[in-house]
Amino acid sequence: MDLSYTAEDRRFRGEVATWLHTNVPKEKRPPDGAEGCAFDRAWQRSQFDGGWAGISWPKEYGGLGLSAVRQFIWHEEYARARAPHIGMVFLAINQVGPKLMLEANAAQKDAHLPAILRGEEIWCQGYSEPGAGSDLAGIKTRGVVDGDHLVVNGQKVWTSYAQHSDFQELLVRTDPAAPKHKGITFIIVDLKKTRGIDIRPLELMSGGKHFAEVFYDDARIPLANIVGTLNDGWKVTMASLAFERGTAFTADQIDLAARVEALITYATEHPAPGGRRNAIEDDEFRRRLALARAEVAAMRAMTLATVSRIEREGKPGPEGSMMRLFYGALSQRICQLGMDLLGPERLELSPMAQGWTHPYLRTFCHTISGGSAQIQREIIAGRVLGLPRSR
Amino acid sequence: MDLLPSAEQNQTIAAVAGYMADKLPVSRYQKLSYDAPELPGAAPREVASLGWLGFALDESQGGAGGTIADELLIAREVGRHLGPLWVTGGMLGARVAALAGDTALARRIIAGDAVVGFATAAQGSPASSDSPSGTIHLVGTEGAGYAVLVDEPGGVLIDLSKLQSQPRPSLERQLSLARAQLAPAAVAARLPAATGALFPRAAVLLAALQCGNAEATRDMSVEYAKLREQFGRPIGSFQAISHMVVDMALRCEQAWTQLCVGALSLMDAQRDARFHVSSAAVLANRAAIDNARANIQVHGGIAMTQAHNANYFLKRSHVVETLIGGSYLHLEAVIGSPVPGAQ
Repeated sequence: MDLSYTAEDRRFRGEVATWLHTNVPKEKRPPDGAEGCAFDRAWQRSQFDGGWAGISWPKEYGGLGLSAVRQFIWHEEYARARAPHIGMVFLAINQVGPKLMLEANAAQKDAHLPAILRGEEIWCQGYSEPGAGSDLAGIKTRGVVDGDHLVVNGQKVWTSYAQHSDFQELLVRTDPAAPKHKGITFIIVDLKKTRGIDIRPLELMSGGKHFAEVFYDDARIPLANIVGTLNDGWKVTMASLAFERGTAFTADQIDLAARVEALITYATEHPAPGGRRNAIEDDEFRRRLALARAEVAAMRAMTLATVSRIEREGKPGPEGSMMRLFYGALSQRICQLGMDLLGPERLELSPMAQGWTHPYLRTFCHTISGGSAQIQREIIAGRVLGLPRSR
Repeated sequence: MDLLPSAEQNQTIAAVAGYMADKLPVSRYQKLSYDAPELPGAAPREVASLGWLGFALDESQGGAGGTIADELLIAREVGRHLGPLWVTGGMLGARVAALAGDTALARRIIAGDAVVGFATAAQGSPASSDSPSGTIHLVGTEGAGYAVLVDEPGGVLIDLSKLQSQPRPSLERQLSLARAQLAPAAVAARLPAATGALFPRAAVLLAALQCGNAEATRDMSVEYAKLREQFGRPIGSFQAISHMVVDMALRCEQAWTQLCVGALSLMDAQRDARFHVSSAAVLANRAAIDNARANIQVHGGIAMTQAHNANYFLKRSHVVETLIGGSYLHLEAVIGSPVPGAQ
């Protein structure tokens, strides 16, 4: 057991910090939208040109192939340098890329992996449907083989950044007669070139158009775009899930720690709503802030344990699968604490306002998207604790 | 950077776990009479012969030259079986004696010849004065020669033969409780706070007991949820149960990983060590108490009785929370610390 870093790791930290200090964009990331999209692409390109793209990707795919410890160091320095949120590039770098590395053929890898690293391809998911959320394998969007194309009809929903994306990883039902996990195909859709696709953005409760509904009306997609084989898409989808539970969310966690510190500073300068003293002198606020501080520390400790486990055993341990559940609930508690502290200020809603109301509304997605908190608990109950299946 | 135990530390864990399961398992409580406290008997000398009590003291003081990280791992395994408090009491008592210069007493404690229970102040901080006094509670001192009291201002080792004490009914009946007036004459050794970071060190060991406790109840609930059937199915297949058990597991991971960071920060004398230790103490108290409560709910009616072990874990979690200084005190240290990790 040891908290100290090797001399090489410390030197690496220095290099990262130096590069980020010079290259992090001076302007704030614009809100989601065309401007935000252009910003995300340019920042990814800038990291690529600097030799820092794909820190977790293997070298053979153009990444840096960094150890889990160095990925963690990168994310820590990234947050410390106040570098922008990865934004619309997240899915391509953290999920699509790893999935293609594991399951795609050579032509598909060549076509997409380098372009993703250069920030030239924004990707979206095509998983959830109105009737298939937590029960993802229940999708009904149909894919029918017609010559050398798959003809797709149906609807997807909760598709983040669909309106800005170049490509989509799409799950369709290609064998309705097979058991539900066996009749699904995973196919790459070129959103800019495929006809018969209608994207309708949905407005979030915080404002802004993050999600979209995507409708398919006889959309013809080349069979060559199938990843893996026909009807074997469930396996392809599940392939990169372990990858996700490494250090991909480290920057978000570190950002949350910074938010807690900002709240503590705020509480030392402002009275508690309805109270007579500064909020930091109020026992209730004081203890809630202290607990938040302790919990973000524990989240970092769990990440360190995950990093240690990956270094030792090649894969994350139980703490890895618990991270999303913990982060989702904690980010909500902390934003709610911010709302409670603000008083009347909380009524102002804009991403550039006091910095709490907007994130508060956004945190609701942290226990819903990417597998709800209930689904996370199901996964932990079954795979970590070995409890019997609930259905 | 590596938060996991080394191969050597894993051997220590296995040895302690094996001894506890064999000689001092929690099931020993079922054999004790409800109103009579557990007496140390010959166990301290046997445990001492395994080297636990002086594991992290210097060899010149009769110890084995290990670290707080080693003690942490031992204490977690002891906590898993609700082991006798004189194990951690001995670790802390030997340290107070050794650092205060009474090497002979330290050696007697390490050898198991002097048994050390705990004392906690009814109010105030007796250790802050050159002539410590005030009302104290003695916890787990039946059959012991000494009690160790550790709080923010430092630590005192109390000679119980020089103290008048009145037995009191105890929350945990197998663990003795008494009240006494501390007088300077009863102080065998005293250590100011500045020496050896005694209070955070005690917090690490006690939080490790809490982590062991929390992990034990998590495991009891997992096993029971697999076996117990209602409505023709194992109760672990009901989400109302399984999600509660998942939350128990999450609380364990939060507390244990943070406690490892706290212990290692203390070992390295890092600036934010106190912040990390107190954060861990808060989370370990929460894990132990909330898990013990949930464990009773998962087990249902039988867990409300003395016939089942679940109640002992709950009671011990409250005892240790009190000895550690209470969660509110540690939350105060957390919020009073400078920004953690800042350089």
